[in-house]
Amino acid sequence: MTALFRSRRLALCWTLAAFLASLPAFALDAPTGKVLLTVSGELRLRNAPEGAAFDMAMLEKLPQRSFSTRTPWYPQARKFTDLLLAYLLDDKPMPVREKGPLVLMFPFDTQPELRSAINYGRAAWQLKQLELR
Amino acid sequence: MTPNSRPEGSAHRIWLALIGLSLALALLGTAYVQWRQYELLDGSAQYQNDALGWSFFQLETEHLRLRNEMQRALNDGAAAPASAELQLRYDIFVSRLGPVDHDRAVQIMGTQSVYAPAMSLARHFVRNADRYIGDTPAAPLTAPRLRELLAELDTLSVPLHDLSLGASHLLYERVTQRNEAVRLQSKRGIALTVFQCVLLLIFAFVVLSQFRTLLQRRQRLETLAERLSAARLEAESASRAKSVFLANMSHEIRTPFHGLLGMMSLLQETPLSTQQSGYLHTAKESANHLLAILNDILDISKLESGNLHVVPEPVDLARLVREVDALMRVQARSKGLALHVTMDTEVPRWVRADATRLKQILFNLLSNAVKFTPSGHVHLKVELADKEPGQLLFSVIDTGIGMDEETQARVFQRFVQGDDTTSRRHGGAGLGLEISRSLARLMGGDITVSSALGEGSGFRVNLPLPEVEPPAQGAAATPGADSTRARALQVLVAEDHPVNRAYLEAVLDKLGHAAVFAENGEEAVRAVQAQDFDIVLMDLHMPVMDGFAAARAIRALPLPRGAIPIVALTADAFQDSQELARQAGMDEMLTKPAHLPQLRDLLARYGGASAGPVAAAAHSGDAGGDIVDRATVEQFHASLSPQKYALLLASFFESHGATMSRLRDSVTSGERSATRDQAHALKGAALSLGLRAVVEHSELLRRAAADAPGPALAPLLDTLERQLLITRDLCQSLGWLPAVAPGRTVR
Repeated sequence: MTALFRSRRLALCWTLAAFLASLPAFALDAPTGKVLLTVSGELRLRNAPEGAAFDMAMLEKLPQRSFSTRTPWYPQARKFTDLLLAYLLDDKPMPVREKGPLVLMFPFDTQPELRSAINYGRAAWQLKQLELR
Repeated sequence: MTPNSRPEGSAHRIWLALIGLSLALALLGTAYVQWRQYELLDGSAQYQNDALGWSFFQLETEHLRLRNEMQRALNDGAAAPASAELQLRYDIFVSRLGPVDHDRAVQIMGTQSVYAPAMSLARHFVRNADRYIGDTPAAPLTAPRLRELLAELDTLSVPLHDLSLGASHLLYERVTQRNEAVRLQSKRGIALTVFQCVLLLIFAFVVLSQFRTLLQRRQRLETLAERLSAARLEAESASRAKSVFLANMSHEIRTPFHGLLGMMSLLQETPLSTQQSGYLHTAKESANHLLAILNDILDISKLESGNLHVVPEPVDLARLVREVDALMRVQARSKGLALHVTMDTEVPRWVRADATRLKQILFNLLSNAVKFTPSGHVHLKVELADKEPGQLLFSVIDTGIGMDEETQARVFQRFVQGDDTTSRRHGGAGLGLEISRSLARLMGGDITVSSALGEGSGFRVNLPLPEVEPPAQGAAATPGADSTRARALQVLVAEDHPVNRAYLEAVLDKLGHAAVFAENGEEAVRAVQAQDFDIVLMDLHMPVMDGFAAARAIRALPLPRGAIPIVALTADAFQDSQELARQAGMDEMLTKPAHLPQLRDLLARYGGASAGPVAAAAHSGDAGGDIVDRATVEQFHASLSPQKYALLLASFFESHGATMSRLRDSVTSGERSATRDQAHALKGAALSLGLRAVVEHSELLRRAAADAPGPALAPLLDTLERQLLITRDLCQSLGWLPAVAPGRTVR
């Protein structure tokens, strides 16, 4: 199933550095459910040949936060719950039809400096793989 | 600020205000333009409108990938074509529909005719496909169904492609539009900025020009201040020069006055006919009048330069008023006027006042009153002003011609005396009232006038004269005063002027005192060192050493000679000189001309008794005016005595033989400068003796000798010798020369 996820080549070093800094706080067990995200690159903690693989249960264990923001893609403000990668939209898991299951979302409303074409472009839908470089 | 620069200043302000307003508006405009630009860019970024083209492109791509997947599923002929891969492709395709099918997209794409049908086709396809591969499939996806769906999907490919292109075009259009808008805004911004720059330059220019104007104004003010202070210095020095001039003039005028009045006093003592006595009386009156005017002018100059000081001391007011009364009564009576003098009983007898100046005011007002009152009376009233102690009111009320209001307003001004007609009728310099009022003001009071034409005048002097205790008996006594020790005094007179010396010697001789003369301060000091004197009369202005220095030198001598009374004798009556004289150690000051009574009183105070009037030698001369100067000779006779003159004359003619032989020697040997000097000496001696012909011819010789290649001197010398002989003969025939009498030699 992982192969079905749309991949976007993203250079997210600055976000991932913070993301991975929190990883050692969790034991990196092998995923039991459907793998939603694979992080590849130079990782010390690995649980799969490609690198670190996460299923929903593993992602839910990461520290969470929620924010609402208006986006170019929804008529009104929506609530996203994530660490960095949103997996809940208005407190519900996102199906593929709703650009899920993982999206990279920025709090555009609270941080106006994020409102640029570059950051709107970085807001990736249907994220399945991150590559650390 | 000058009145004509005010409109200029307000124009400047209006300009500044206008520029300031324009600048503010331009700044607001710039801010608006920039805000609009930000809005344009921010809006497009926030709503990702530009991304719509990308969304259509992605939708088209996903449409093609779904179509491929469906084709592959059909070709594989799988039993269950609805594989996970197909499901995923379908879900992604549906997810790509969302970003292009919403209200904002409708707003943006509404103009594209293909948009609405294509969206409706897409929605129709999703509705059909959801039945088999949606979240809750209603029926299994079979091959025929798949084929049907594929066919429907195929119908979408052209509209979706058109939409993709359309959106791209739209995007380019929008970008172009926005660029256009940004360019326009930028142009406006640049225009506004240029406008602002221009305004700023103007503003700076205006401010700079104002600053320059201020600087120039300050410079002008500074220059003006400098010029003013220079002018003030100039004026002050001019005023000082005037004061010095007045002091000098007073000296110059008083010196001949000294001689004139003195001679008249002496003349009065000689036997005179009634007619001569009358002439002399008139002459003395005129001279006294002239002296009064001179004193007025001096007072004015002193008041102007602030050199006049009021010296208050305890004064017996009742006595002062009596004295004024006594003096004025004569004047009033001579005009047939009654003079009433009344003094209220509340008025204190002893007050603190400057007696001389108070008298001067009262005399002035009373003589004016007498002068301008043809008949009736003059009333001097002394009372307490408003019954207030310490404030006295002196009123001088007459029944004279009075004044109109215009005259009253001008009467205290200088040189104003009623009108021109009265001025001619009554005479006087018109300084009296100005001096009186200035004096009253100096004393802290004032003078007011009330009058009406033909109804007399009233002058009121209001003065603060506080009551004082009568001074202790004898406190005011003059040092050395001893009426019982009256005797002949040894008087040293330091005086450089020969006429004054001669006059003083005559006066002192007449008073019975012995006089020794010194011609300058140095000689006076030496005389005091060498000899005992009772008193020194010291002229202040002398060559070699002046009176001040001499007085100081005498005061430095060992006692008792260093304590000898010194009386300054000067025509310069300024307060400064008095003060300087006092500081130099002099005891008092006698103002020239020193009349016989004044000198008698002065010397009496220092223990000298008057020997009483001495009969003056009578003399009558006649012809010879061309050869001798009778005036000089008579002056000599009157002041020195004819005997002394005869002695001098005899010694002159005795020495002339030697002089003539010296002159002849120098003329013969051609030493013209020696001739010139000898002729000059002869002329000087003859001049002081009044030998006019000798003076004249020795001067002719002197002048001829002074011209180097000049005429022959011998004939001139012959004439001079002849004139000398003629003069001697004349003097002998007049009885001046042979009379040889014993007497004290004049230094």
